[in-house]
Amino acid sequence: MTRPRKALVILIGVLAPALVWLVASAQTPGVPAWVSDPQVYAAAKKEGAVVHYCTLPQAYCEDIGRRFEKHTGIKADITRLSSGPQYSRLMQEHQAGLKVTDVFEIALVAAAVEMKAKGMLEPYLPRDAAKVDAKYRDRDRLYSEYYVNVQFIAYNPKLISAAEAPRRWKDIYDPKWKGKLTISHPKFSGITVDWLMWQAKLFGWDILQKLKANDPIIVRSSAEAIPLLVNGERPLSAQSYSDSAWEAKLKGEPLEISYPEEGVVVSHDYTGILKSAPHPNAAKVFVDYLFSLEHAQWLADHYVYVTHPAVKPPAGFKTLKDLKTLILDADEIARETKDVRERFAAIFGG
Amino acid sequence: MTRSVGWLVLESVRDEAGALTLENYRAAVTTPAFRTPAVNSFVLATSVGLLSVLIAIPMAWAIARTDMPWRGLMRVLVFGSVVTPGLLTALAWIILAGPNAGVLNKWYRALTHSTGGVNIFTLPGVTFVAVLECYPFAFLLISGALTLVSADMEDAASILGSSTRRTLLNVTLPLVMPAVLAGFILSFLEALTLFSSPAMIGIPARIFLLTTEIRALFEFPRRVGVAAALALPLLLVTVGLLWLQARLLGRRGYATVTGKGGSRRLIHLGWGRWPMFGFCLLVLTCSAVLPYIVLFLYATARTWSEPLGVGNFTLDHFRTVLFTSSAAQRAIRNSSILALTAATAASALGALIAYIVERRLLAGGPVLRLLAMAPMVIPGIVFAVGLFAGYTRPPLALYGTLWILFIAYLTKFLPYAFMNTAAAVRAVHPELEEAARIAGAGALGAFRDVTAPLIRLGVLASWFIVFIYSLRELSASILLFTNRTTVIGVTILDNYEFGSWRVVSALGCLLLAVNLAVVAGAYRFVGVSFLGGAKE
Repeated sequence: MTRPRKALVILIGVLAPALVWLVASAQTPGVPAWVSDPQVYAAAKKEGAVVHYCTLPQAYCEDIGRRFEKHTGIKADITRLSSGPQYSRLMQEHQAGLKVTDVFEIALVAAAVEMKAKGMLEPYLPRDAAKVDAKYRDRDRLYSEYYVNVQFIAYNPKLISAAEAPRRWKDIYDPKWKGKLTISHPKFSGITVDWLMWQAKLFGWDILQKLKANDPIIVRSSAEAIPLLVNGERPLSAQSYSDSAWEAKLKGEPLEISYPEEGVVVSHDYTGILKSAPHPNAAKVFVDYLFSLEHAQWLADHYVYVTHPAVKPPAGFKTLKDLKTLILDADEIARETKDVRERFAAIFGG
Repeated sequence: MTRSVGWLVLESVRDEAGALTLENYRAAVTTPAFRTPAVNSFVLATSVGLLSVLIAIPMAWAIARTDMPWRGLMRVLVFGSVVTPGLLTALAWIILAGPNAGVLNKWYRALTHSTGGVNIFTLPGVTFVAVLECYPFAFLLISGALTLVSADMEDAASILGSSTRRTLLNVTLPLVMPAVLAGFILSFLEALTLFSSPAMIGIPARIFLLTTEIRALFEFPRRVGVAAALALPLLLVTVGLLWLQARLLGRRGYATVTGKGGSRRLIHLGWGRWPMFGFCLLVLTCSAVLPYIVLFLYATARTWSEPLGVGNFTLDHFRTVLFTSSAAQRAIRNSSILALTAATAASALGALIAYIVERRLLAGGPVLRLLAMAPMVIPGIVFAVGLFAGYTRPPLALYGTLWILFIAYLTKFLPYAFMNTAAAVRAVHPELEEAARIAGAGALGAFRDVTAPLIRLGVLASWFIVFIYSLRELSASILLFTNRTTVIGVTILDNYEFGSWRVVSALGCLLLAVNLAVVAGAYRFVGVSFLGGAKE
């Protein structure tokens, strides 16, 4: 190799990586405004990835991951796992001593409380989460919620007129709904525990006998009741909730929502960081993002009930501020879960 | 495998702190909440096993041995029933026979101006759907055996003056008894470990079964020990059934493929062809035709409550599955890879074990048989938890990879491959190999040139069965998948639980298409179909 050519090779060898570095650093966005701590952010970038179990619909999980990665360059590996299987998986990983998951999200309040008691959780509260109402976060900062499940009554307007439709929780116990009702089983559906607790607080536990007299179909999660409702199989869902009901309504399926006069039941869906998180810093930045106004607004635009107080709701959608809410303390739900399930099983089996 | 069983036994006698205890068994036996599901499960499994065999015997005989019309179409429809995941059958029947809005009920009421009809959300409803899910197992085994029965013995009976019916009852049926028993055992066990119909039809009807209860014990509050104590009796039942099968069949010879030639002829049914035809068509309409018609219509309807028509037609849900949802695409890719590899590995391993066990090449054959069969009855979730414990820690840290799913599928479906090949090996009389040995072939040569070609059909059948089951596997995957390694079964369940019946229906139709394509391709290139029929 002649000397000039050798020099050229060296020159290219030095310049090319420098150029790549320059281009790369020019493309790297600065620290996003919603990050709580720039130092954590720098460390998170080094970790480069975050692993999250999500309870939102699959399509949302995919989108959240894409947008987070676009903002931060940190890869978000999000698996949708509903609360029961998710808890099962978390315990499985815990017992095997695996360090694979960073951030969980679970609607089974008793499970979150138990993980807290077992010392599995890392305390953390994003800057934006401090703005949300205190009833949406744990006082020890072990979990908090960027969205909640709001339970109301849904009905099929082709089979039930607006005048006839229940306006109060009390109305669903009317014998005229015999053979028309769906409810969820508290053993399979976490949010059914506090729904039942509220019904009992309002009307006493003989609601179970009254429900049974109405011969309801028992589903494992209220989302399963939606197709039964829109197909006309069971035109009345006693505890429909946020995203699944709204999704069907927006698609033009025959579904109307009735917000009961006593108030909607607001059920927790807690997010937190595991002590065993393999990417502890990326986990914090990711939770920052989940609580950011930008993300909250995106979710609200998709008819999810977010806790961020500053979102602007889309037309026709009521946010938590506009609704009369019935909400229970996590510890109380956790304490009562076993009892509620046993009471239900005694009447309905399972 | 051994690890899973070991884990099961260990967990069942341990409390949370790890100390030895019988508390789990006490809880399993004394809690009334478990007693009802246990009784329900055994009643369901027994009736499903019996009904499956009762349906499968005449169907298999008519399709494999008689001149009933449209046998080719029937085989295709049986295939359609075999590849249908239980969740889809259950979903289709909820749409068809829901008490208020079921399609069949609406028709019936419109035609008769009455208020009667059927209700799928009942114990007979669960049993009905479970039979539709389970009878193909019995059918495949019995039809495979019937194809192998040589006409020699039937001819002998005819020559001695026996009528067609007597020949059937006294000669043909006794000859396929091993397959009938195996068919009963298989559908019984399948019904015992079903998950979809108990969860989708049982729970709404307030009929609780063991599988849904066991799964719930892994969730909150987690009581793994009790789950293990409930699952262990299931394992013992299997062992007992397999032992019984060996006892009943052990002393007699059932080799039907011998060195003495023999041809198979179709039996002329005369006018009896038509009732037979009607019966087969009715069963297949329930298990394949109606479900797929309703799933396709459901997947392509914009709004189900509106009349169907051009204005109410959409391919959006197919588009979602194929092009929009990256999760669905990943699932389809992963499931394809897993199905191809698991089918190949399981059929090879199954053939090897079957040959060793049936020809008594090694001591401990029965133990090997038991090990190969045991995964069949362990509820999927228990099995997956055993795998989880075994393969997530170094040196085998396979969590989050396709490998752990591959191992799960291989272990889980090995029994099917084993049973299929074992039946094929049993049917080949050792005299054929002995003849080859006498003619100077080595042990390996005799296997290669004589036995291997004869059991080829059995091995191929295993491949297809494992392929089909892997493509739709759910119960083990649900505990082992991650976002990157998600599979079709998980995607279907996830969409079902989220109320997206449209997407489920679209996925189901696509699954059928893929299965049909693979089997049609195999039929074309290899010249055999997995239903035991060789290309004519």
